[in-house]
This record gives sequence, structure tokens and C-alpha cells, in this order.
Amino acid sequence: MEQIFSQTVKEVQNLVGLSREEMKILEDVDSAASELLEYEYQYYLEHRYNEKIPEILSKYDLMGIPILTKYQGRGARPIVHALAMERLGQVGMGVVTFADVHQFLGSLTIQQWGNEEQKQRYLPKAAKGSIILAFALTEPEAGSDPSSMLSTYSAKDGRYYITGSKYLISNGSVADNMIVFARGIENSKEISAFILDTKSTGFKVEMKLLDKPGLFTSDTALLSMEEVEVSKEDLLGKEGKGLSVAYSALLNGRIGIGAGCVGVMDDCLKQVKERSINRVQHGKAIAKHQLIQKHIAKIASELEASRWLVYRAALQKEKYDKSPEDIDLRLETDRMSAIAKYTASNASFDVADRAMQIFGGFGYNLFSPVTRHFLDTRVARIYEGTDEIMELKIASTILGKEYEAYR
Amino acid sequence: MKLTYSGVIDLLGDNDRVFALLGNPEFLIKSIPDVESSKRLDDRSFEAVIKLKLSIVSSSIRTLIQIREATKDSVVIHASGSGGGSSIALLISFQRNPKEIRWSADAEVSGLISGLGSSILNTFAKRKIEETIRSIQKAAAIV
Repeated sequence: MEQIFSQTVKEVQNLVGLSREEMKILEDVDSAASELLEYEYQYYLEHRYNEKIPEILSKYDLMGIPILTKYQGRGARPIVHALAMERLGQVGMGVVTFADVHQFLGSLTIQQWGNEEQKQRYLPKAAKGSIILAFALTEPEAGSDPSSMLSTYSAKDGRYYITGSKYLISNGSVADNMIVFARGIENSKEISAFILDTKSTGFKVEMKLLDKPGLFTSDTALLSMEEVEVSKEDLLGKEGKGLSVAYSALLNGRIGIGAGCVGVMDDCLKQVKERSINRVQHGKAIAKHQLIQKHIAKIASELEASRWLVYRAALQKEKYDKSPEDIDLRLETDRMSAIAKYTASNASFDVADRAMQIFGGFGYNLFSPVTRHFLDTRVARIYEGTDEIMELKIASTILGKEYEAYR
Repeated sequence: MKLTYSGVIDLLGDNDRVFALLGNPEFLIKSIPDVESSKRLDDRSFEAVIKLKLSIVSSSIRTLIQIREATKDSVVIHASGSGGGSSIALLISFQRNPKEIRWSADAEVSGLISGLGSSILNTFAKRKIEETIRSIQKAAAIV
């Protein structure tokens, strides 16, 4: 196993215990991450979607890490999944984004909200990598406030018809199926979730969003739907409960993103240690300069602070998964996942910036491995809940529901 | 920057023949990927111009390659070269085992290439070394 990851796994093993199967999952993740690294770097340099991600994750049976074994997943509990995402984060946030969307926002949401027939239909395929999933919530005019979405659906002859646009959708142009949210035409207060087949008539990838300042290896698309037909069987959760589906999915996703950001910091720390020991200026290794040491101390501190928050959120999620009806557990899980994602995403951006600083002129260069992290982590402060939404959410869980500023 | 790598290659029974060819300069030079030209210097050494394309480094590296040891169980090769603002020196040892070839390498890189970091360089070096062995394996199948 990669050295930092191996140490981390040992620490978690001592803390919560990991079964043989869980260790096997982490070994597989380590092998997949090692194999992905060179591709991720190359595709990043070429500014294109890394199509090797689903191929290599499937090869190591890692497309359904949190999915129950009865649906052909690996059945990993949240702490194991967080560790897996951390290792993938060492490779890059492009890999994390793909895996987070496919597994946390996609299949885990179907596992949580789908009926048995939907689970049987989608989960084994998603877990084995024969389909790729996406999650289409955001719209050009509805980002942090999904309740203002403009996409609509109507019901006719036992079928639904969806019309509207979805924006900044990760895996959007490569997904086979996606969870789509739309507002009822007859009752505009009702937002519902559907599992949509991207081969359906009326579904169109309007644009692949390539002019991003980072995350080049992740597929991002603008999508349009014109009367796209969805069967009654593909309504996900109860009609009108779409926002509950969306918010629970994002709660899962935030732990994954936080864990990915921890992996980014692992890699930054490794890179700056190596660089500062080998780079000689003023007659000595720059590692011997105190101002460089200050950056390294800050990087290590931000990494450890974020790491244990993410694990705490994952362990909290494990408790909640065992008692999903417990409202207090849900609120605490929501709060912890928001704190973990907020802290880790900001820390990783700062850490990547400090790493660039240590790399000096070489750092201000797209070829530098830490610059890749700098560009890729910026979005983690925006997607799956902006910094500001995370701050409001954290504050309201402390102050009480009546202080929810976004209501 | 100093780097160390190691690996194991399972040759599915071709070990002896591959190992014998590994210490043979004629076969070795034909098996190293991306060699643009080469010149034999003596029984154990040759000079090769190798196209190295890895991120920022994309240039022809003039490399001196020496077979320092070639016994029935061990082959040691040293390679050093520079170009494109980078320098590389590599000492690689191959050990023959009944079912596989184990290899380990110590490298020293400096200049632009060192800024890429060990993670990327390790993966790249490992792939190139394995490509070399597989290429020798193919040659062994023909011989």
C-alpha cells in the first residue's frame, strides 16, 4: 500500500477495527489508485475526461463500494468508503468526483430510496460498472436553492414527461442513467425524483463544459430534456418527496468529497516533503529554511484536523444508517458531514496553494503535480454545497431550525 | 532527487531465456522502448538516444548504458543521460527466481523532471522497465 495510506489504515484499524473483507477493499482501492495515477495525470494535461476511471474501478470491483453485497456491491460501511475516497483523492479530485457521483449520489441514493424492483434493476449493473450514474439537480437558475428549479414534469397515461435544463452535471455526458429532479406541472410545490435513461428521446447533452479552471478529467455537462418519457416504475421515492431524496444524497456525497480532499492533502504533504528535501537554494535544502517549515507545519495540521473530522462524520453516518428514523441522529450526521466537507475542502485548497508556494516557479506551471490539486480542489468549495450553504447549515444546527437563514 | 523502485514480473515459464537475453546488449538495446538510435561501444556498453516524453520533459536523451554484471542469476545495468533540462542516472538489478524476475532500481534525477515528483516518476519508470522485459520476452519467443 501507498505509505501514507497504509499508516492511515493502521490508525483506523486500531480505532474501529476493520474486517478482512474491508482490508481487501482498501487493498483493491490502493491497486486501482496506483494504476490510475499516470492516466489521471496524462488526461489532466490533455484537458479531457479520464475514461480510464470507470474501466479501472470496474477491474478492481470498486464501482459499488457502499452498495450491499446482495446487489453485487462490496457492502462497505461509511468509514471504509471514506478511506477509499481518501486514497482516490491522492490521485486527484477528478477521480473522486466520478466515484462520488456514481456511488454516493447515484447508486447509494437508489439503495436508500428505491423500491426493490428498482434496486434489482439498477444496483448490480452500477456496482459492476456496466452502467454509469449521474445526479441532475442543479440548473442554470437553481444552484444553492434547488427548490427554485424550473424543470417540470407532467403525468399522462401512467407515464411521466420531463422538460427542462440541468447544468454543471458531473458524469453528465457519459452517464447511462441519472437521477433527475423536476417540479410537478399540476402541483408546482411538488418536486419529485426520477431515474432517467439518457438514451430516451428528448434527452440531449447540450454542451460538454470544457472551459473550467480545473477538474479537467471529470466530465461536466449542460443537459436539456424535452418531454423525456419516464415510466411510473422509475419514480424514485414518493411523488413530491424529491427534495428529501436530493438532500439525503448530498449528505452522503459530502463525506465522500471531504474524504477526497483529505487524500489531496496527503499527496500535497508527500510532494512538498520530497521537493523541499531535494531542492537546494542558498546552499542548503529548502526544507531547512524555517519559512518553508512553517508551510509544512500548516499543511500537516490542516490535514490531520480535516482527516479526523471526516472519519468522525463517517462514523456518525454509520450510526445513523442503523437508525434512519432517528431525527436527532440525522441532524447530527447532517451537521458533521457539513463540517467535514466545509473544513476539508477549504483546507485542501489552502494546502494546495501552500504546496505551490513551496514548489516556487515550478509550482506555477500546469505540469506540477501540486498545481493540479490547486486547480482541482477549488470546486470542492462550491459543488455539493457551497461554503456559504455549509456555514448556514452548520450555524442553524447549533442555533435551531427557527434560525435557518435560507428559509 | 533519489528514487527507488522495485517490481516482480511473472514470465510464465520464459524466465531462463528472457534472463539470458537481458544481459545481451544486442537484445537489450532492441527492447528498450523509444530508442531513436544506438551505437555499440564495447561488449558491455552502448550509447543510445532515447526519446523521453513525460509531461514537461519531451526530448531526446543521450544515454550511456552499461551492463555491469551478467551472471545466470543476476543482471545489473547502469544508465545515465541528460537532455531537455533534466538528468537521469539509473542502476537497475534483475534477480532470476524460478517463476519470476525480481527487479529493483535506484535512480537519481535532477532538473525539470525532478519537479514531477516521485509518484508520477515511479509509475512511469515501472511501466518502461516492464515494457523492456516484455519486449525481451517477445524476442525470446522468436529466437
